[in-house]
Amino acid sequence: MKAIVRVKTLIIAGLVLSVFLAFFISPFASKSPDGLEKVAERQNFLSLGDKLVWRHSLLAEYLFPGIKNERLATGLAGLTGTIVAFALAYMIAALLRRPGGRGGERRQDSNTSHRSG
Amino acid sequence: MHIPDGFVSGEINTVTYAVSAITVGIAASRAKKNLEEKSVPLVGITAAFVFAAQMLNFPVAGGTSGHFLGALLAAILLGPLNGFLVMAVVLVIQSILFADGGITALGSNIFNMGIVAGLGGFMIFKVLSILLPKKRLYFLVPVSLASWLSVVVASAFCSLELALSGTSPFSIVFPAMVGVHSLIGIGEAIITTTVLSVVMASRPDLIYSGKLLPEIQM
Repeated sequence: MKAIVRVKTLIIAGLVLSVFLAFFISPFASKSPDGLEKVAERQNFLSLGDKLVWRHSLLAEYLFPGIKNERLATGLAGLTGTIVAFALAYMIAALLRRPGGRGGERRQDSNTSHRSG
Repeated sequence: MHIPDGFVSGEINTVTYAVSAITVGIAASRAKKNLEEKSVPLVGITAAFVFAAQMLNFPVAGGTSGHFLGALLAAILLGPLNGFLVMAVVLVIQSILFADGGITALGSNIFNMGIVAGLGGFMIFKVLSILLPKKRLYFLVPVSLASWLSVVVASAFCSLELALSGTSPFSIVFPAMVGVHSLIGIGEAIITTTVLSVVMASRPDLIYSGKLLPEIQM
């Protein structure tokens, strides 16, 4: 197992890629209904999903509020969601991880993995 | 296949909410042991990537689109339970902030896309890995097969919930859901295999499943 790239580099590359996809590419994604929506449309039960129970989604329809340009609104909504996903998952992981753990220590014994994931 | 409010009955949503909540509890308590400090940023990146890539709907046959799910990718990268937590976080954000997936159907969505696709997909991946030769190239064969299956089986469970809710008869909704997701699953397999190839080429030691299968020459 050779480590060719530093972890930091990989993390930054991953974050840049995600932000790039969410902000620049998502506005050009297909607008067609997805698999479930299409099935619902064909089987005439799409209207069952018309009533939202939670109506306070700030970025509903993946559009950033107050932005007239739809592509920019989608890109900004995507960017926001990506950052929120990163921050929330990072915080939860940091809180849950074993206390006092030092990453380097487990490198040796991790091959004999006893971790029941 | 994010289920909106109104598609699935209260009974089914209650059961899937309970199962999903228990699984979140188990995954959270196990994370103390099976989440390394250096993997913490990787958890954040995986969530960010899964969220971003899920926005990229690509066209499949007949005016339908599909998007990447990422459950198996997260499971292989981070371990099945940590990957499940990432899927749960992404689905909660999508439901609350984006109205993508109903709040009442959140349990069903976490069940289908976190438990079935993620944990179930990972079991398929492990079984296939054991059956195939332990070579680097063969790591990607179970990855692509299991990622395709993860989407197809999740859609099958989704159709089962719709049928049990009386929304649509099983004989109609099951073949329709599985049919279209067999196509969407091809995209899933391509993206999962590509991302894992890149991580394998740069930092194979970060892949949880690479450690689980130490006999694989990375």
